[in-house]
Amino acid sequence: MGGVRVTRFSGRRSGPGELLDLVEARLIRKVRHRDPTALAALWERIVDDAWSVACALVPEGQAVAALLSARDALAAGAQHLPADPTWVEIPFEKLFVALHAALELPPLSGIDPDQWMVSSPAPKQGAMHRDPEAARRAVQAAPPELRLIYLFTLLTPCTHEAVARFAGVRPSVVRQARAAATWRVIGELQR
Amino acid sequence: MTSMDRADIIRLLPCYRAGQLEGAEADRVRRALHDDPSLRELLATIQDAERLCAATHRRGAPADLRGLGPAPAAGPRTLAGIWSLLAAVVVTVTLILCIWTQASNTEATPELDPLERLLHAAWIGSQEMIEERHPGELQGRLLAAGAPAVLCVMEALGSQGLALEGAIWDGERVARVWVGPGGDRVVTVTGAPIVIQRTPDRVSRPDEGSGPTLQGHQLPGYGLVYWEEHGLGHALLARSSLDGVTEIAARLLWEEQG
Repeated sequence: MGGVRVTRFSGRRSGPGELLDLVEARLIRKVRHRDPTALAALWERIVDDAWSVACALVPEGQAVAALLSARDALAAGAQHLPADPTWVEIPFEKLFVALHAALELPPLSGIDPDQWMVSSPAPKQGAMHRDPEAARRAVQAAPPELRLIYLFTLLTPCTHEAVARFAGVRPSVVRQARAAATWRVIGELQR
Repeated sequence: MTSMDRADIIRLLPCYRAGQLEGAEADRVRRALHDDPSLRELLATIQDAERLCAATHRRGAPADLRGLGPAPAAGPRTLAGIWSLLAAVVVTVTLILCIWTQASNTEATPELDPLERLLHAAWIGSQEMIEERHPGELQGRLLAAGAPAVLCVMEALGSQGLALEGAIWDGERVARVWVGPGGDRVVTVTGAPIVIQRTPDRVSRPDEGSGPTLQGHQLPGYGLVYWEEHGLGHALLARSSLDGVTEIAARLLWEEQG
């Protein structure tokens, strides 16, 4: 990718129902016709995002295992891939489940999202540490379930509705998690 | 705005920044941001923190996870793997140092355009990447440079979730452009036509209801194109004509769809 990354302004992809990249549409068509090269090209489009999330959450060995399960899910669902940007949800759902298991988290549906907000620091303006190590520490300081949701919504092309479905919670819970994690990270960076 | 309203808005700011709000909720936040500079500063803080976190955590997957080859062993790296990693680190560090050096030089040059001093510019290959450095000050400069107040204030450059990033292709034409009937501009990007209908100070894509609307303004020496997508403001500012920047924006938007 390198400098070409500038073409992705906000680091996010188009949402469901929006215009689909013609190249991607062609790849999906080929994948449905069992073209392994096209399948590899589709995987290539998401593998860095998946790896970034996995590495941020679990040790490398578990990250590799989680990615392989996501890749297998994509291969298994290849012939029924939706012809829109939601195809990414197939491998990312598997990745989410694998990482959730690796983190040994309880079901997220049992968590009261209000507790996240209550225990988050009050937002304030002020200078932040801006070095990568501080950012890494700030994210690591958040509880694992918040980290999981935060990094999925920050680094992958999945919508918050999709992440909510992976987690078995309402979309509003994902929004609360994202907000709580954001304020915690900022609080840590401002320490 | 009551303190309760304000607390509500603050709670929603990260979701607004993440493009997770729609309709009335997004409008409510947008109005509050328009009215309250301190909220805009908080949003800028969120934006800075998230960019830092995203940049920190993004990494390329190892070669053995690319493609659909056989599963790699999840164990210690081989010597060859370590050497590959080392080579990648050396290349990355070199690149970062080059960019940093360029940025430092840019910062140290006293003759730069006042607008440009507010931008961090780095050359990567043939692309000049520009990103905001001091959003508030940049906004003031844009106003001083003649950008319409509505463009700067309505969407508050840099402090309302604006991602100001740009790319100038060094002399390379990024799209074929011609003027169609009725003054419509037709831009062909990778073989797919996007119709851009243009009025003196407004450029839009009326053919796709869900597509973003581009607004453009010619500043002295710079073209500025602005659009909103997923609740986020984006701007492309380049040392070029408005037409040139519009071409680039159209191309980038098209690529963004992927």
